[in-house]
Amino acid sequence: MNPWRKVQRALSALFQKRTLDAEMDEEMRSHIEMRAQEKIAAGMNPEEARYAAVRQFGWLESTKDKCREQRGVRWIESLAQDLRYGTRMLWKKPGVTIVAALTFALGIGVNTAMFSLLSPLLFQRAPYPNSEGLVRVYRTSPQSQDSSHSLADFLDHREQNRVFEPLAAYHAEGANLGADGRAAQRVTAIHATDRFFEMVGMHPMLGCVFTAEESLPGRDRVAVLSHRFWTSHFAGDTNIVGRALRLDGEPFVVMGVMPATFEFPALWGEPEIWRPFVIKPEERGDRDNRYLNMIGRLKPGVSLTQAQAAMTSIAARLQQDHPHYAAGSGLRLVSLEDSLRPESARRSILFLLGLTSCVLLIACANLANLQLASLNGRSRELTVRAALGAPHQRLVRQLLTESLLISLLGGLLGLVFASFCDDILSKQLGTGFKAVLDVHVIGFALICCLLITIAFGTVPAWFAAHVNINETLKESVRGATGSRSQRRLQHLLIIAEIALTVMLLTGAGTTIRLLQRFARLDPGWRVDGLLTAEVALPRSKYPSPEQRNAFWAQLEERLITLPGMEGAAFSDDLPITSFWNTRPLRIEDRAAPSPGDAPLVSCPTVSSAYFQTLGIGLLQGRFFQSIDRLGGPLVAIINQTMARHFWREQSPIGKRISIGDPANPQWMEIVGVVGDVGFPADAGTDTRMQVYRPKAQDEIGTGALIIVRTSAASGPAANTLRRAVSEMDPDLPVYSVTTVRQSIDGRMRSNYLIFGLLGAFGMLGLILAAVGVFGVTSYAAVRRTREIGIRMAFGAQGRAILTLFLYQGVRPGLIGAALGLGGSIAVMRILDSLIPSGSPMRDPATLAGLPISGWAVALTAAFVLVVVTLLASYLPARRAAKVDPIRALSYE
Amino acid sequence: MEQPDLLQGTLDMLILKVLSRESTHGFGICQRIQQWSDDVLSVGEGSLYPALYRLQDQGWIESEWGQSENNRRAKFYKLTKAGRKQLDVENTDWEKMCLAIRRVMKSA
Repeated sequence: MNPWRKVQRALSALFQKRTLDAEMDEEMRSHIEMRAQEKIAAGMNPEEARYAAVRQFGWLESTKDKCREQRGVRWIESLAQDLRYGTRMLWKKPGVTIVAALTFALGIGVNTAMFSLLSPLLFQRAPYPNSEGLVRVYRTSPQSQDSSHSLADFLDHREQNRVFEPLAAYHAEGANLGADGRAAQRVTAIHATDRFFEMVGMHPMLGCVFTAEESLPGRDRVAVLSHRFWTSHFAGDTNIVGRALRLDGEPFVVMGVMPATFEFPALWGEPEIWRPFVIKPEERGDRDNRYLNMIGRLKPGVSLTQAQAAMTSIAARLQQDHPHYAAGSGLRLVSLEDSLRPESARRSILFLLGLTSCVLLIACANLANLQLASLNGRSRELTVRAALGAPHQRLVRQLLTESLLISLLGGLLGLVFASFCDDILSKQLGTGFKAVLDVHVIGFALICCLLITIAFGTVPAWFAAHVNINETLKESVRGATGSRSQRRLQHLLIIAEIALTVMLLTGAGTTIRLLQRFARLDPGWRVDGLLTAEVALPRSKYPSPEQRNAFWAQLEERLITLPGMEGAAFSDDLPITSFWNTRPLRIEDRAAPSPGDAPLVSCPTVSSAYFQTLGIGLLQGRFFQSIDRLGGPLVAIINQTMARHFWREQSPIGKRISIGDPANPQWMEIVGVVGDVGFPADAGTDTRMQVYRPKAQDEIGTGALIIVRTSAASGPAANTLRRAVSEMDPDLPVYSVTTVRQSIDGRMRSNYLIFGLLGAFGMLGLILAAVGVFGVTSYAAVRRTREIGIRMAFGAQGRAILTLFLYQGVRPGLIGAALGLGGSIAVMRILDSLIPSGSPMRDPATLAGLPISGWAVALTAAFVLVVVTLLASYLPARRAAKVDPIRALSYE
Repeated sequence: MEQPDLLQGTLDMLILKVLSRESTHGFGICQRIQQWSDDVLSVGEGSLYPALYRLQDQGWIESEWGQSENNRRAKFYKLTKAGRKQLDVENTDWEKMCLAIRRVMKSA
């Protein structure tokens, strides 16, 4: 049959149902008539003949129903019928419907909110054409899986590989943007090799991008603007191409503007400017400074595995030629898409989603219980329908439709709830995180609804539909108390609910305890009262290290005389999340470590007042002094952990160490040992070995972090600081002005929020579970009031009845708690695996390899829930045991 | 008399066969099948009508209202072109099936 006719038939089946049904009825009646005529002709009397004909035809309605099914649109009809009927049933008992929908909304809501927060991390894609061909290349070493490359390494790989077309490199740098008549501004510029934009696959929106020609020294005074910078700083001026800019005091020409779709903070950050990366001939052989990020586009037909093999073999060749530089390292190729969602982030996400899904499951168990209970009240209705010939599957489908209606209603409310949560979350988290309801999130909520309906609606529906017709019809008017298997199912649900809640509370509680531990950790320096700002001296104006040092010294002098300033220091880093600069260490008089095995130390460069300003104590020797300057003997101060590690009980003062290239040591004398510092904003960072070098002996760095300790409020203090700098050089922008406390809180905010959410989820789960367990247990007990009456009429003591009820009520509670404790061990294990070993966040007190605090939380949760079940069975039983047996007997 | 169960799908073929000889109503189809099988096969109304509606849905038969032999309004079914083709297909398949079953039964 052609499709058009099929549609036509389907439509007529749907919309001319009455006519079709009437015709069918007439057809079958005429059949019966003819049969009767036949029998009369054979000599039967008319009355009997009609009766026999009808009987022979069988059940008319059932046959009609089967015929209707042949129309092919039967499912639409019955769905419509189910929906109509379901809506009517839900409408008839609004209390149950509202409670169920709200329970569900809470469960779906928290999950959806959490998922919308995390879905960018799971589904984020690069916004570039054919982005699946983009591959990032990391250098691996025993210390790190994703470090950068030296220029010489990059050039070798670019020349020798046959798998990328092209392979590019880039790195970010700050620059001072001078503007006529406006305050100087600090911008981020990404220096990228030629063919970079070609590799990404994007074209400029205005003008053009730089090529190999602009990458030659002296030809590189060009810049490509990011869309964001173009709109914010130049108000989207379309005549911008060809305009001159001043970067670090030198003139640059705007070459082009990239489109908004080129921006991708997850990969590049938010640079204002793109500049050609210049390969200076004298730096071509530099394998020491590893600062380049490598990214490339695979040639068509080349797989990631092939590319990995090709690049690894190049690296192996390099390792042979330059054993010292490349030893112990390798290359790791990761597709751009995968690099955006690292394994560790994915694991944490799954952990969090796992915990929130516990809330949902608890809500679902409540729903299933609620449904079971309300089905008890409907068993007569269902039985009658089954007795009238409704097939089981039809009843199951009817009940499932009802569950689906509830869950969709709840899901809708849940989405509203989630979007409300998302607003709060987005506000709290600020930039970087965005919680929005997108296609993924709504899809997630819908799938949740469907899965839950199937998982938690099917079982009660199956039970209800498979009633024993005879039994139920014979039972007295008071209705069924629920079959044995149904009670068992209720117990199972209680057990599951309790187990899940214990697990949820353990997960949430342990995480919160971790955070508290962390917040109480002493970082080893006084975090409050510190204000920081950054200043970078352009090389054009301050070419020599002497000039730069003179500037810093003068600025320090100025700062400490200003009102409210208690101390001022300079450094290139603060121990907030980690020290960025780590280098291999070598100790004089000890064997040089084999290549690649050298221990890594952090090596911040600090001014002499740094330790006093931060409040780091001196343990041995001295701080840096004015004699430690350029040209003088190189000195260093190390931290306590490092002193203990290498010199045990001996004094390290006077020993000489070198950092950087172990083959070409630059010996520095250790003049002091200071206390350890911790990293208040990064729970994962371990206290490492630290080598402080005096800023006065720094020949390379041009910028500095200004740190002042002040008793003034941060606003006025920041102004004082800005004024002090601009009085010395009005062209210098002071940027990233903030208090240390703000930087820490800013970095910790998302953590605090997630942990706060977990706490809220834990409470929510507990409340849901308590309400659910209490409701079901006490309902079951109330329904047994009659039974209590009978027992008492036969002489049972109130005490014996109480004991019986307590025992029966608390048994599922105990089983659930035991299972929950088992599950909690798994939860703690997972959490444990997420914290790096040696992290100060780890609880030193453990039992069976797991933190004592975790056990305490798990046991408390288990205890609370057992108490809930005890109360839930005790209260109704006591009430029943107190009443007169006669009244108990006539209950219901 | 014990009624042998009709094989799945054979009912459709029998209906098509009956209608290939003459157009008739549901009751007529029952009668023909019973007559032609010498009372061995009798089709229950409970399976006949769903089958008729199914065949109609497939486009193998058509129906129209008409007068029965004793002047009663009845729905008459007739074979379509597609139905005729389908009957050929089912006939061939049936032959093959019978042959195969016979071979199996004789092999022992």
